[in-house]
Amino acid sequence: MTEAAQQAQAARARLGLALDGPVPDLLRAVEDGGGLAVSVLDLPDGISGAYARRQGQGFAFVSLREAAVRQRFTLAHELGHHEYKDGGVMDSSANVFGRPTAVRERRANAFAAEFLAPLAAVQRWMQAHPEPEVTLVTVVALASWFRVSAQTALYRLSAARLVGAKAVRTLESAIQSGEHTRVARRHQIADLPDQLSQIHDSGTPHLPSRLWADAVTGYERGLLTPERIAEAMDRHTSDVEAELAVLGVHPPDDEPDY
Amino acid sequence: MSTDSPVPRTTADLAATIRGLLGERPQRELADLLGLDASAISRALAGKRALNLVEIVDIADYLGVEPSHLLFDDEAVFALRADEGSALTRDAERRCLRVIDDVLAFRTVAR
Repeated sequence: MTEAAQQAQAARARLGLALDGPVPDLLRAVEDGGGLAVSVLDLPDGISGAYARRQGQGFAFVSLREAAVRQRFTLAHELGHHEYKDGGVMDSSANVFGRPTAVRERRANAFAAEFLAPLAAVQRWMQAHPEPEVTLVTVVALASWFRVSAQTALYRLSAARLVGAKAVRTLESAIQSGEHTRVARRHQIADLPDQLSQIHDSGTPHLPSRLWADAVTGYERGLLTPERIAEAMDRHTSDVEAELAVLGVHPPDDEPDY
Repeated sequence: MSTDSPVPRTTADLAATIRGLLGERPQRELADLLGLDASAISRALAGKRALNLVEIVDIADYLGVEPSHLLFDDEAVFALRADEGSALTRDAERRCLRVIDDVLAFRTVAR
């Protein structure tokens, strides 16, 4: 097992995730257990994500424009940067989905692959779904189970030595031609929903969960105005005021010390 | 932008940062640059030998980053960029930095 795979398994254990199955909700697991502040933003095409660390706080950014399966892999990749205490990086799509030459990017990709679909879990899934040979239906079903792309599922099958090199080339070619989406439709194999897929479908950016919680506390202490909160949350002031009213929180009566 | 002081890196963190930036470049090149033998550079990159300031400046020059990025944890938020100088990358960086600054500012008032 590679060092990156070991690191991914250790991270899974730390986040309370078993090694024998998929990650039910990656964004929630990374924000709650991983301590990363995760944002899904409308980043320009060609940028899949980013990672930064400032004042001891890790920040992960994921492109709102990409499909949920790619967003999950990018977020797991950024978690890999965090686990390795890498410096801040703007990750191009080539870094995450190409064949990067930089060790840190390859390491983050190896981390992400094992974090999302541990080889042991892939083997277990295959044992539970015995087939005479690995077909595109197998790949699509595996991808759906682990909430990854068909390409990633194929790589994991290959890494687990459950499919030969010749079959990988054939299946890869079929995936590149879009055959996997037709197979998914025909067999009604859907992408299982999670928070990232909901954000993607809504097209609305996601800001770190703690931002709102801290904003409410700051408002209660008279240190933040609804206008300032609205600016940070990229929302209308009236919407912020309405939500604060629903929560029943008010600034102190004294003149606030801005 | 936050005006808080950057956090100095520990010896182990500094070593890990250099290893990450070094990528596939041979350690031998770095050893030759610093005038160190293979054992010394190996220990330095394992975080078992502290690097002095002159060595850190030379390493930063070799890696193409500011010495402050090696010395401090938060000095350069995005030390590596997808496409250096690209307007799109700068736009993405600006959007991300805004979130970072807001999260840290709100965290401070909520503490």
